Amino acid sequence: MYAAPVTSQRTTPFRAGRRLVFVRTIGELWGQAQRTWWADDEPLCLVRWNFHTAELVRESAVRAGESGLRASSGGPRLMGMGAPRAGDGLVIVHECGAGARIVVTRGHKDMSAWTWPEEHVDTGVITDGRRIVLRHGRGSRLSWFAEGAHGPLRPWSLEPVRQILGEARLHVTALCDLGETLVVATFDTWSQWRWDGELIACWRAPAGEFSPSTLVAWHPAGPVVYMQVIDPATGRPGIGGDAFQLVVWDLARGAGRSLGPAYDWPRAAVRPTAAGWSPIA
Amino acid sequence: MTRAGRGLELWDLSTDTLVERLPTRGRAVQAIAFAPDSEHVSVATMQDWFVLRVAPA
Repeated sequence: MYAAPVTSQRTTPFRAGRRLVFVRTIGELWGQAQRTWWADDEPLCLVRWNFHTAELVRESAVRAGESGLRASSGGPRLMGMGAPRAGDGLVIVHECGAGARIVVTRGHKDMSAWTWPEEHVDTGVITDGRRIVLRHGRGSRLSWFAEGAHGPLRPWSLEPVRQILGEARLHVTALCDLGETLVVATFDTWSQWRWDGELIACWRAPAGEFSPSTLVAWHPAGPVVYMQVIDPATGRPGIGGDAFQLVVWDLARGAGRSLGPAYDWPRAAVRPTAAGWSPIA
Repeated sequence: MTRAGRGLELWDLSTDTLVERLPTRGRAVQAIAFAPDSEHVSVATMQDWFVLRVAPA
């Protein structure tokens, strides 16, 4: 999945910055990075490779020539994967004949698994190491497993959001791990929760009529960065997917401003300053 | 801030200013994250994993 640090010519474009200064190569990736984050002042990376295997690597392991924490379905397609910030575990969800199977791995051993009827669609997975939260199914439902996934999948009700904001489309579009809390994005709403299921705050998302805004980065203290489909002719929110723009949204004011066109699917991180980072699942 | 395959960009959101843009010529960035120190950035592309630092102006 990775190789020891080398001086790669592929990184040459990233070495030309004056404000973004190249510091060091960690390693060569032979899979598709799903997420990167920092724990104990070192970077970690969650990588998907070989269609059916996930690996969680940290810089110290790469430098020591050690393998990362791996989990594999043994063949069937991975539907999703996640890992706690501490980097001491790995969760995969994969297709199986009965539907879907979740496997929780810690310390190079499969600790537990659970199978349930499910459609074979991509699944969002975030975990704090105790609770595993899933966005799953064609209806983009929200559910959770208790620690270790030793029991059945349980529904995570978004009804408190509806009670506060009124009628809204609540199929889940993204999950965001903020560390002590998590963010659930639906078609019409954004809501921040404690991992035990207590709602902290919710907002009406600046969704278009036909397509939701796509979260790109979430800073716990704001701002939020999202991507929005626009009509290329008018520059206004539209449909079709021919053009996108990046918008910086101030949660407190409920107002946004455009950063201009977005190309492909942007990845972003907001400088934490005094707060945490925010991967989107 | 990155735009997959189009470049790696640093924005100042207090002024909405594009501080720097590195044309990365198809080297699509797959994942990116600031360190808690707000200076270092972990960057994973399709093939490489490395660390950048945001230098003072």
